[in-house]
Amino acid sequence: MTGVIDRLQDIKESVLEDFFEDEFSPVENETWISRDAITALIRFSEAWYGAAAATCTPTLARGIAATMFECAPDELSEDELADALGEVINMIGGHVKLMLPRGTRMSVPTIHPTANVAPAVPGGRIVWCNAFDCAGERLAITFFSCGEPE
Amino acid sequence: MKILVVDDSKAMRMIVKRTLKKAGLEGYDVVEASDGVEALSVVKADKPDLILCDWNMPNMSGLELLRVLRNSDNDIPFGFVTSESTPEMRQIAEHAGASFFISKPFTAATFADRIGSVI
Repeated sequence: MTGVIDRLQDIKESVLEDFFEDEFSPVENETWISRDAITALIRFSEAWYGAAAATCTPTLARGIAATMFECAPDELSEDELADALGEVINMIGGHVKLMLPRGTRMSVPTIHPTANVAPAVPGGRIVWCNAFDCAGERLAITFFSCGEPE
Repeated sequence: MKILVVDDSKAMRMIVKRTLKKAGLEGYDVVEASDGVEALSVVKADKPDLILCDWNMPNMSGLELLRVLRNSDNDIPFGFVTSESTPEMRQIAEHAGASFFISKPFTAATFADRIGSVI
């Protein structure tokens, strides 16, 4: 799990900023309190069980999607929003998967209109969670393990 | 000259197209497909010079598409652009006849380097 945590620690530089060219500043000691949230979730299975989630405000979600689709945020359809957020968690999941046991499979993303995706990860234990500020909006990345505690 | 971008995510197809421009590859026409089945039709109709393909797609995966092409003696340069990049996947891709393997997130410099070496 140490390697996975190391991999998660550099998500800001290796995934978020490299790809989106926006400034993502870590936010310390903050619990997600906004009721208004959207989460993209991917699950790991086969050789290792767990999940990774990217939760953000709808405004940030639309901003990220608008960048991807090169359009105004209010021109996006719900499908396009889901597509864009799915790609964000795909990249985060792919980045982390390199450190997971060989043979681990990664699911396709699912999108949830909530910050609380714990019910969607039965038996999941949060092993890492960090929040980032991007232009005043929040993005939280959560990593669940469904295996034995270490 | 044509580049075929194959990905079930429209967002990712747009990002790939944008990155091709940033990599200085804007002289190419870009055609798109959302899965391997559609890609085969586009290959037949448009005869692209390069395929950039995702790994996981519904209907026909990127690996399945590559194998169909190679089994029909089509040696079009083919590169994977995917969020997963384990050593095993790279080995499988190379063995199947892929020219290169690019992991997401990618940069224009990576595109210029990998793609520039095959076209």
